[in-house]
Amino acid sequence: MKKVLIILAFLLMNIVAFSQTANSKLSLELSVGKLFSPYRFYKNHTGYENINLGLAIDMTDKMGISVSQSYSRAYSQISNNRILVMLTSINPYITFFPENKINLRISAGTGLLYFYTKSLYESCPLSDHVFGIPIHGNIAVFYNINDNVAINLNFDSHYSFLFNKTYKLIINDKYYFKTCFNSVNLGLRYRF
Amino acid sequence: MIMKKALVFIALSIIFVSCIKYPEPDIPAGYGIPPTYTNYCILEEIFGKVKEDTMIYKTYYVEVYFSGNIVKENTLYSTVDCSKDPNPYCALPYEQKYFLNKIKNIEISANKPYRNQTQEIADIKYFFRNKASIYDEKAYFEEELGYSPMHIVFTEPPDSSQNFIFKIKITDDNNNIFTCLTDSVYIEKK
Repeated sequence: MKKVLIILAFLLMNIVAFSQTANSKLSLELSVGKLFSPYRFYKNHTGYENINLGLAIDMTDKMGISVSQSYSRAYSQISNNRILVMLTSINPYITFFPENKINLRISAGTGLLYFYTKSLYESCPLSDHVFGIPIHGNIAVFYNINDNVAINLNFDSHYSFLFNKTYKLIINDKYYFKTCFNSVNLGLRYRF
Repeated sequence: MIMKKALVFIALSIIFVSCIKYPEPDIPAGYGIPPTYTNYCILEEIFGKVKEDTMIYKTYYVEVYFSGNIVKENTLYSTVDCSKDPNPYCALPYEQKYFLNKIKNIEISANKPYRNQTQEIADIKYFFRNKASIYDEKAYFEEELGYSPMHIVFTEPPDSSQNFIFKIKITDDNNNIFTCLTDSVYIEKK
């Protein structure tokens, strides 16, 4: 995990170092932060790292569309259970104050939630794959360092409707068909 | 057109799963009667108990209690706090543990010859408890342990009336072995 983070950091530093000023429309975003899992079945899980990779295309000065992929982990001490949460989403967005040094971007969309859950007790291995449809919301604040590079602070939330919930995964109760994960990330954006 | 159909499908899926309401407790609760709820566990230890120290074989049975670790927590009922509830009839929910281990084999033996000069006991019925505390007889193979305790009933009397200690050995489908001994019990052959 550490190696991957170091490689990604170097990649970003290279992009920043070789960046050129241009009237660009496509941007790449990478941010790292923490996951929060406050809801229903997973509310006693402690969230760990969250990595978010996004590609955004400006349609106009203020509007565009982004595709994002995030990875995160959480762990419950009570049930000794670990989950890997992966979210793929497509999100239309609106940018506020695009001409300023600090921009605000609000986006909402949907996609696919996948998570892998695994009990860490060796005597009785239990694991499962779960899929869901998320409603994804994101608020991002950008501080533009130059025309190409910006620092971004992301507040991300996805409320998901699970449609593959098996007996082996979680308590077989309809209440747990819905779940919500939040995250706060800090990272960089590079505009091509 | 395909996009439109996909959107309709997604919308219907969301509506379908949104219609599902809150969970119900295992057993309906009334005023001051706590609801029971289930946490799912895996087995760590078993304990064999006998009700009395002298019994006739027809009324004799061993209770096997299970203990273990939670692997799936029911987070709705496990976080209820009556101290913050204005309802004077608030009763703390009662946890029931369901054990997920599937049984591969159960062996029961006595500390001395029980029947036909053998210590192994073959004539046995197994009664599994459900969440409403009703016991059903089942064959154990590939059956989950379920709710604690399980009742083990001997269907044949011993060769003679005497004291016995029974050893219970349960093997699950992951080849974990759990054993326990019961207290000494005097079984009358009548």
